[in-house]
Amino acid sequence: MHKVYLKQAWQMLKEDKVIGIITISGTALAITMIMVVILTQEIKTKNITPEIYRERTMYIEYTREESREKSHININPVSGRLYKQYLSQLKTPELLSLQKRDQSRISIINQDEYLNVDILYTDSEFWKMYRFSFEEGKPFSKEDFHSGLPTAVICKSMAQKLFKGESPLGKEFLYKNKQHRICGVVKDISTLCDKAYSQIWIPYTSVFEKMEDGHFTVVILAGNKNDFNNIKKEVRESEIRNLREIDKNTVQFIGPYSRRELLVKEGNLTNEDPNLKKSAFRFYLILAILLLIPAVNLSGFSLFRIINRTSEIGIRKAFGANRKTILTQVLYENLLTSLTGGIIGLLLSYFTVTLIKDRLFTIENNSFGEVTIPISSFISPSIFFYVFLICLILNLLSSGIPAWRASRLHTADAIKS
Amino acid sequence: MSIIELKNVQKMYRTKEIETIALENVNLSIDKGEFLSIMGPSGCGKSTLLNIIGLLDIPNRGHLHINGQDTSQLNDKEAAKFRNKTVGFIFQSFHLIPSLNVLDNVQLPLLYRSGSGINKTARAKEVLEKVGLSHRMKHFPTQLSGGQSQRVAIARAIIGQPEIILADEPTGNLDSKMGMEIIELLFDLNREGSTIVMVTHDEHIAKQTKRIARFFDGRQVE
Ligand SMILES: Nc1ncnc2c1ncn2[C@@H]1O[C@H](COP(=O)(O)OP(=O)(O)O)[C@@H](O)[C@H]1O
Ligand SMILES: [Mg+2]
Repeated sequence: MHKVYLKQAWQMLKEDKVIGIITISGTALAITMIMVVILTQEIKTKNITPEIYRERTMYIEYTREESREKSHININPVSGRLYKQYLSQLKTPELLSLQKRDQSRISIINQDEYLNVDILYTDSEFWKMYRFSFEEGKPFSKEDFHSGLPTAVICKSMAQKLFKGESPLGKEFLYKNKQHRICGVVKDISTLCDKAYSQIWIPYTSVFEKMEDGHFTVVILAGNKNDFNNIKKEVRESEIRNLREIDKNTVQFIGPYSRRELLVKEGNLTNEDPNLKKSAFRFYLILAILLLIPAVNLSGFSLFRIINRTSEIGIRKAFGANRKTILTQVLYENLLTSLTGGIIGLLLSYFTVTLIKDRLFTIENNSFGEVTIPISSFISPSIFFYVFLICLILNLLSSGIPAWRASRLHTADAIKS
Repeated sequence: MSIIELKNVQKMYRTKEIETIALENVNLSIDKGEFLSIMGPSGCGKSTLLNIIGLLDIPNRGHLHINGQDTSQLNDKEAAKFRNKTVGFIFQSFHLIPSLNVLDNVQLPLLYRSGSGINKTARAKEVLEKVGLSHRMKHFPTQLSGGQSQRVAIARAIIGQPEIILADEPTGNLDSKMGMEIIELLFDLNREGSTIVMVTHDEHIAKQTKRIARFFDGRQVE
């Protein structure tokens, strides 16, 4: 039965080329718009190598310090001092790591040339939070980190620029008057991974005399997503305990927030939890509107096609089709056009996202790196599932009423028309 | 026992302005294996009668019994099943589905028959053989002559081996030579046991059938 439906749907498309092309391209454009929105959201939130634990990672980017007299409020990245006092003892997280982004100049010894680079200061835990693929060498170790050894991991393109094809392992570059020895080379990281991204990673112990001197983003890896609330609770408890004990200022951490929460938060520097439900609602509302408009347009064509086929539907009923079979067939045939449009739309959305990626994914500081979108963000089961689901909904919205009408046609009258 | 029995059947069409009584108090019973011709002037309700017998339409009053069963009790699904198994329609203007080729058109009734386990294509070839069109299987309806189209329509009507064949002016759109070929086919089917109800304007053809029912203005007059 399905084979016959498919064959016939194809035949109909061939006969009614203009309508077919209009319907398919209308569907394709609708799916393109929707998939650009969905892809953007997916790429921002789903795991992308090396940020493979995005779904169970939380971040504290800022603290809010208020003097007891409430005379002034300071909002700063998390200072090493506050981290040590408030956060380093947290029990719930699996891992804690500090990182700080910078842009600076490096040079190779005996060469007066400078290179501007993105640098990330971090600790040895950092390498456990992400999955980097090392081309050569390995990350700096816990011992390297604690001894404040001036060592560095660099990305491949940087290695290429510095050493022109020679193995960079063990070679050194000059940064802040210190010779940093290269211990590892990793593949270039897309700036999409805005937390893991850098061109050079060095232990912050080699830059700051004391950890207390730095200001950081705190990255927290939870055992699983369900621990998020407990981690938040623990941070709040720590705030209260410390307030009672020592501090002259009231300290509040803005966060910890999940990746989704950070996206929703957007510069709002209070420690309230962002309203994920509201933002999800807004997201789905946009999708609904993007779906509804083409659906209404397409249903016109769908109805037109059905009216053209009134007689055929009567004939089918005369030879044994019941209402349900007619309904199924019309929906099924329309699904074929929807899916064809869907596949074209999906390809177009890949193209669009690639074309405007720099606008879609901006990261805070103007990094020197590139936005490269891994192919796995495009070709994933969830993306295909979304396209299929959206085609199905679009199909039901646009041909549901025409199909229902067709199934209710009066048989004898339909044949005559 | 009669296979088709109409009791006091009335059919009325209501549009905004007028009411048309298409059938008035029709009582008719047709025996198994009969070949009945229905005659009468245009607009007297012949097609309406056939539509009611074939469950394409329902009477406003009265009852239709097929094989003793009252059909007014059937729901949409059951009526569809009845049309599929028990009747085969042949129309004046053929009514083949233009987007399907001959083979698929002929197979149409089997498409709506669940799990019968028969080889649909083989069966379609068989009936096309019977109507002499096995060499046109891949053609589309627009590529066929009127006579060929009607033969395809007959193949479609008989593929499901229905007990009843309802033919509404099957020769109306054909020249007399082709018309006679079609009528011969119907006589063959009748000899093989099918009950046939045929609307025709052609006295000569009607005379060859076992019985004629004449209608005028929605009433049976003979
Ligand atoms: N769907 C309909 N709506 C209104 N009137 C109809 C409809 N179908 C048939 N009629 C009317 O019913 C009468 C009988 O029609 P029909 O059975 O087609 O006649 P015949 O087949 O004998 O020419 C005619 O007057 C026709 O105009
Ligand atoms: Mg008629």
